Amino acid sequence: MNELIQQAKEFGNKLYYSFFRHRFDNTGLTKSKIMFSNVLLHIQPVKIHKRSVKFKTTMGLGLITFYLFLILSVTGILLMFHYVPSTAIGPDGLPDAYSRMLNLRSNVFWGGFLRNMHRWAAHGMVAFVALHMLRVYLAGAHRGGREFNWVIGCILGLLTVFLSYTGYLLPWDQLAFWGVKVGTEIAKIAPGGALIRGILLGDTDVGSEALIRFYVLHVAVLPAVMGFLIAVHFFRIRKDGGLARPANTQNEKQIPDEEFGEVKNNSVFKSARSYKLVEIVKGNEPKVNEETDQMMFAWPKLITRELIVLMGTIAFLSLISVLFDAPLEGPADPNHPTNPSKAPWYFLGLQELVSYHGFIGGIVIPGIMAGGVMFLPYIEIFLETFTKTYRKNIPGVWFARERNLENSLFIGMYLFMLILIIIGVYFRGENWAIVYPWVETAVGGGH
Amino acid sequence: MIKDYRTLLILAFAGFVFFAMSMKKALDQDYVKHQKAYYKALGEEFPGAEIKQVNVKTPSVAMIDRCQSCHVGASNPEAAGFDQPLTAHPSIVPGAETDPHDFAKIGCAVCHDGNGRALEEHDAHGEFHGWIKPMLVGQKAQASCVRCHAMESGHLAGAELYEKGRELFLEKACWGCHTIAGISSSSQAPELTDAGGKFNYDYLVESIVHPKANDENSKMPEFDWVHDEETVMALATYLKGQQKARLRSEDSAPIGYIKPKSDQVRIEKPSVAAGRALFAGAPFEGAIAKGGCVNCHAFRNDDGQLSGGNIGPELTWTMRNRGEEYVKEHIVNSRVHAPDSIMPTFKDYNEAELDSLVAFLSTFDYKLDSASEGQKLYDAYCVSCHGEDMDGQGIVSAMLDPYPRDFSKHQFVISYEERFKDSILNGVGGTAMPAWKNVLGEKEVETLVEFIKQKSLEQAPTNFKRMDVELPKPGDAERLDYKEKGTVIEAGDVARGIKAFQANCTSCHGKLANGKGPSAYALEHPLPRNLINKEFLNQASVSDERLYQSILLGVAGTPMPSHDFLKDQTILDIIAFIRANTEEAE
Amino acid sequence: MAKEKKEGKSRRELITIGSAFGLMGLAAAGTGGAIFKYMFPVVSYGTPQKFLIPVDDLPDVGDELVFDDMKVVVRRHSEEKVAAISLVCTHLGCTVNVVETGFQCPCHGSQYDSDGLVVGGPAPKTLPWLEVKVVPGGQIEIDTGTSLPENTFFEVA
Repeated sequence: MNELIQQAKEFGNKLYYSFFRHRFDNTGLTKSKIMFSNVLLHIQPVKIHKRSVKFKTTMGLGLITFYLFLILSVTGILLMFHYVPSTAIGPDGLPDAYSRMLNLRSNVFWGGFLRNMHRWAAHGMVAFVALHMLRVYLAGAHRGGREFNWVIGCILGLLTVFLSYTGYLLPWDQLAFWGVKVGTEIAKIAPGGALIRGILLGDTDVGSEALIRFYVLHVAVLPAVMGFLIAVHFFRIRKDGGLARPANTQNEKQIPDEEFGEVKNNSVFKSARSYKLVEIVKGNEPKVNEETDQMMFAWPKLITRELIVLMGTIAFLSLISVLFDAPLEGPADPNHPTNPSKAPWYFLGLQELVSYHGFIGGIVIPGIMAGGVMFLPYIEIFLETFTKTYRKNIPGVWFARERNLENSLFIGMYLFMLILIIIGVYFRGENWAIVYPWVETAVGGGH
Repeated sequence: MIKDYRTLLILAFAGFVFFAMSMKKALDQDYVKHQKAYYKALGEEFPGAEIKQVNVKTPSVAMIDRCQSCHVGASNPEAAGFDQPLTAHPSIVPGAETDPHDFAKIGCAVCHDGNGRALEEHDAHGEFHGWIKPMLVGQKAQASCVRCHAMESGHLAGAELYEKGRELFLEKACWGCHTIAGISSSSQAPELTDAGGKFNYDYLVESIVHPKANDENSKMPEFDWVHDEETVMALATYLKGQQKARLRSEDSAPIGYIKPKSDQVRIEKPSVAAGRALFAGAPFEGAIAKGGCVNCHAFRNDDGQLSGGNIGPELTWTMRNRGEEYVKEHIVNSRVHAPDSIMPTFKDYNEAELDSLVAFLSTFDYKLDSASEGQKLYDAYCVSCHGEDMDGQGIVSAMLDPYPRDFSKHQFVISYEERFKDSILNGVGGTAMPAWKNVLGEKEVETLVEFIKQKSLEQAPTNFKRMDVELPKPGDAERLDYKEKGTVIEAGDVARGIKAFQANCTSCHGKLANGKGPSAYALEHPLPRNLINKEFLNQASVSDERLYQSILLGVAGTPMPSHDFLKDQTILDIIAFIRANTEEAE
Repeated sequence: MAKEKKEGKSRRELITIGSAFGLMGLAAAGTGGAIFKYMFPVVSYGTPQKFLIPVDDLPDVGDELVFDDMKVVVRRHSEEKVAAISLVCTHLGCTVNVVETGFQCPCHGSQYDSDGLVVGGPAPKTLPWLEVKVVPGGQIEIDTGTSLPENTFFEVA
């Protein structure tokens, strides 16, 4: 009998160790093992700086963006099962793509919810990319070896907008058609824009060719590029030594040890501690009793925090998707534009600018902004190198006093775009004339 | 740590609840409730909810129709007394024993429009923004009969509202301006052959009742007979039924198909009675009514009783004012004599029909006593255009172009006193002002002029006086330019005139000089003169001198400003251009 | 004392995290179920089961006529007796060909005689005979969803 129990235990043990390669006790070794023996957790270091899990360090903005990307991938793949990128007029006189939207809304179980979730997550992602970028800049986290990662982040941001934009066309309703029509007309103003527009649309105008191209870009090309760049983005964060932090974090308020679980030391060398697993990263070597005290095991604190952000994102998004239906207008009619014809909201700032002057508003200002922002860390490095008085590499410090000018300029740019977008969404009515939202509600796209 | 775990628990709970909500929302759709209620009302066991989809197949298209998922009882007579949406559909063909329309095959959206795919009421009834075919409720669905049945003429049981609309369209002379292929052809107003395919029902109603609601520059009058709901509904249903896309071709149309009558019976012999019928838009001896003048024009009977529409000028004196030839030409194409008239063209009238109308119009012989006083004369002959307050805002003036003269502007009356009598006696060419010499005697005209002058100048300041300038003569070396700007030596030059006109005149008078410049509609009464109206410009009273004065000094009491900054030579050039342009416009 | 307190705390932690993961698991299971339902068809856009043919289109007496798109052969026995046989093989759903001896399936070689009875090959059942109904308007309706025994003729006169 005992033997049998023994054998069962052994079998169970073997089974367990085939799934997990570790136990779940409180030793440092286990906590390390958990982190590096799991493919999902391994992207993160075993030990992290305590300030990394503090809310004010990142506000979880980058993580939310990433989770939204995951949600978008999952819901997007599900939506693909019920979608056809075709403008062919179907049996009841509606374009195929559009009647698929109607189907999703009416007779596909959960279809409306998944579509809502996809649409709102897409809008959310654009917004959170912008917020994440703002956070990074204001905390000076684009400096200290992270300059190139900032560039990759900017490319990711542009990809996000472009992904949203390509997805905008797919329902093939009036909103989609005229939003994309306006967007591609803006592209035409740029030097060489006609070429890009031709490649994007595959025709002289938005039509069936454009729908297929946008579809392939949306479901295959852009997500693949995006996934790859996200991997690079994350990898570089680790190789740059984790989240940006000030040179000296000694005096910061730290998380008390019991907050992340006791760590038993069952090493033979009772006085020894596992400081840090060997990693070739930038930054200072841990110093005994100094930097090390600021380090903590990523398991379970960091993972829990990340789960909290994930659940929060999903919960909030599903609430929004239950409460608000994603917009769907009448089927696209190339002969009768909506009045006004508005691009999606993240382009409305641009559209507002274009309404003043095509070239300056459509190319010069946004070009300077996009290019300037992307190479901002290098401009700072340039100034540092060639101007002795410019010393503003202060990574990881919110609103560093020395950087007041830069920070206010950056916030100013955000406010400028925000005001333009608000004007575009709420204050523009028929024929792009000014309306007051408290007098009449602006309609015709923008969302 | 426990804090983090609690947060996680709360968020997990929230996520769980919201997911559950989304699934409940997806499961608990309206049609399930309706089907449960339906079987309960029937007293039968609920067999489980089901989306009842009809794939409506016709030779050309097939439509997806899920309406009967909620409207479960549509074809069940036992459900007759149930509430919406469970109730049975009322019979479509009145009196028919079994209705030939089988909803299990044709669904609902074929007749009622809306969004057949949707299962949620708001969606399904097409009430969301931008949906092209909002639902046609109840009788309005008769607009869709035409998709399968031939409805151009004849009678189809159950389509009474549509047929009433068709009658109204003919009787009220809508066809005079609007083309519907097979019924009329006119370039006056938007074509309505595919009105139902292009516009939704509410848009049509709006455009019928308030023509300017959807098109600010619409010239369509606001008819006073369209203000009862049934009339509007009938007309809108008829127009909604004008659709090019049909589900059935003529040879595959279902039972009940009636071939349209191919040829119209025409009036062949002129008679007053035929003219009266045409005038009233009533059928005459089997001929289909294709007139209806009375809808726009009024006339007085022998007792001076006025009756008819107030969109065009009153026709009581028109034969005496205009003469037979003018009237006939005006009926066939009103733009021959008055370029900006909105009157429809009746090109397809034959000689007999024209003669009949003229004969009928000639029977009006109402006339005032010649000894009548000014007020009485004015009220009879002038008031409908020039208005009770003499401000040119008479009852019909809104539809006239150019507008009738506004006598309340004393500057004008003082400046052009001597022109009055001539205008009354001989009329003003190219406008709605006719010549009254065959109706009014010399004395009556004088009484009228005196009356108008007296009324107009009652409160006028006495010191207003118009300058008098002479038309400069080419080659007159003696004459100094106005304000001594130079010497005039040449006759007007058309090429230079075009340039000057484009620079100074087009914002009001328009590039084509037709008085329809971009600012024209923003101006106050009267509108800028149409300068290619040849009947107007070729009258004796519109001399070069008058044009010169009008340009240089402006026209008193109108928005035409003075142009004393222009050189005399430039004004002469402009006049030369206007003259040449008028010739060309012929 | 101190140790007990610690254990109490860790048990509380365990319960909290356990219920959190339980809820997440439930939600995930529900999502899985919902996705199944999301994928499952509720309506069909395909060819309807029933179809109509005008009486005039019926074959002559003693003759038969194949309706390709509906996979049906209509057989006229006499002036008023008409039957319809499904052409869907009872083995694995291929469309059988009409041959001299009856019907033959090109996929796996099932053979039927002229009444649809199996005479060879893997087919397990007779070809279904279908219900034929006269509807108003000079048309007859054939219901491909029915399965009647062989030699079921209907009056169409």
